[in-house]
Amino acid sequence: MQNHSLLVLKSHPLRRESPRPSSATFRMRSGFVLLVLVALFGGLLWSVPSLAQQATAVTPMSQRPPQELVASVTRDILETIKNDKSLQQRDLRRLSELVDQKVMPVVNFSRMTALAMGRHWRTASPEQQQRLVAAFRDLLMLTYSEALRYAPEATIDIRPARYLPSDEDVIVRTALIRPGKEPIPLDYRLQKTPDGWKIYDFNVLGLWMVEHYRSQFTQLVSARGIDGLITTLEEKNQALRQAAASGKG
Amino acid sequence: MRQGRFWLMALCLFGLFGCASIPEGQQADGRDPWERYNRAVFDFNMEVDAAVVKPLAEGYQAAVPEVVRGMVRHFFGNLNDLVTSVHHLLQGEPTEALTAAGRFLVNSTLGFFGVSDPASELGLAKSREDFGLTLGVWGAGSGPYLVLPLLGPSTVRDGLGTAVDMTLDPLDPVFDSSQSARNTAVGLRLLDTRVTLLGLEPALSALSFDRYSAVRDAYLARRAQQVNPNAPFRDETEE
Repeated sequence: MQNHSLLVLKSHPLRRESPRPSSATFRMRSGFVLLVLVALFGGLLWSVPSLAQQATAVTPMSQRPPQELVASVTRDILETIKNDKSLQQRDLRRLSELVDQKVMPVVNFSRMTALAMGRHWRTASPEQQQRLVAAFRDLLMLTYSEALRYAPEATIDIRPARYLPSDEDVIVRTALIRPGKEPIPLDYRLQKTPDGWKIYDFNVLGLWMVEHYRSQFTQLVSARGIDGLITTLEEKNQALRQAAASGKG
Repeated sequence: MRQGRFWLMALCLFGLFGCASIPEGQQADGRDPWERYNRAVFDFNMEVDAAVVKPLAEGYQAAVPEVVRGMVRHFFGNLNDLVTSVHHLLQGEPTEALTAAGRFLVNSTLGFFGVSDPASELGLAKSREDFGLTLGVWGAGSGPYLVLPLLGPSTVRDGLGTAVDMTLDPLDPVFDSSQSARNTAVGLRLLDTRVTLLGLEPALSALSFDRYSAVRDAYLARRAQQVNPNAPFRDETEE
């Protein structure tokens, strides 16, 4: 996001006609410094030129470059939670709507589930796959529903990253910042698809979800089979829903 | 007396050895060669937690208002900022060391001995380091995963770090005069930590079907990320 602000600042000295000549020199100088900075980093940061193209036209969410996509989605979600008391109180129905509206369009969730299933994915029937995707979505949603109450005071910090224009698989590193507390690192893995960039894995405090659940799922599938895994997932979700409901009152 | 207690505990742990079994379908993890022992200690810790620590933490949470608990949390957090500052310095991060030291100075004075946190309002960001992480930054590998009795998930490196950190505990000089006051403070700090973990339990429960391996994976992943935040992604994805 720093790139974005740089770009906005860059255009300032051109647009503004300064009423006071004394500060105009300062503005010109800082404008020049910013121009140099942009020139220096523009080559490194792949997102800068594409941001410039976007300034003219509104681009659909998923067509945006990865860093900007993650930044806008996460900020949008935080903003929504800040303005919605029922979400802060862990209203799971509202949360589910929020996930469908704002998260699912930028996530390739069937890919994420397939990766978490590893070699067992191909042995599952289409019907089993469908149930796995649904149960895994709910599991991840319920896992982090507790975090909703921290959202009002939180902000997202997008960590600098370098991409090549040819990259088709990138990691966007961010951190959830809360006053007086250690930042919580949140990273996303994105893949370029015909529909734009899609998130297919994320990590919280260093733990990548695909890798983590693959080892948990593999264990369950070899002990109980794919149907056993689906049942276990659905039971777990049920228990978590109940815990969330009782914890609210 | 002290030694007697140690042997008693060692005996208890030895007795637990036989009980731990690795669940069906569990694949051996190269980072955890002592899994049978670790699982035994893990189960022991869980039992102690369920019988003693968790009920106490819940009682503390119910009996003491959040404002006071916040003061307690800030007080221990403030002492920890001092330790963190030293570790940042040892890790060759002077800016972070200054930030942490600045937090300690501001909060110890303006924050009334650390019970409030004006430093955060001044933009001095909180961080947390320990000797295990410092050893990691110096290049020490984590060594095998190790579950410590009562202290929980660790590794050989982090266990060594914990031992060093415990001998340099800032609570010791603060409660220099009275051993019982110091022990109370240590107990209170434990409760405070446990209360913050209460809120994480639903998430942990969702992350784990086998709680032992979920805690292990989460611990090792977190520590690895703290030692090297920009480590390249270890890609093992197979489709």
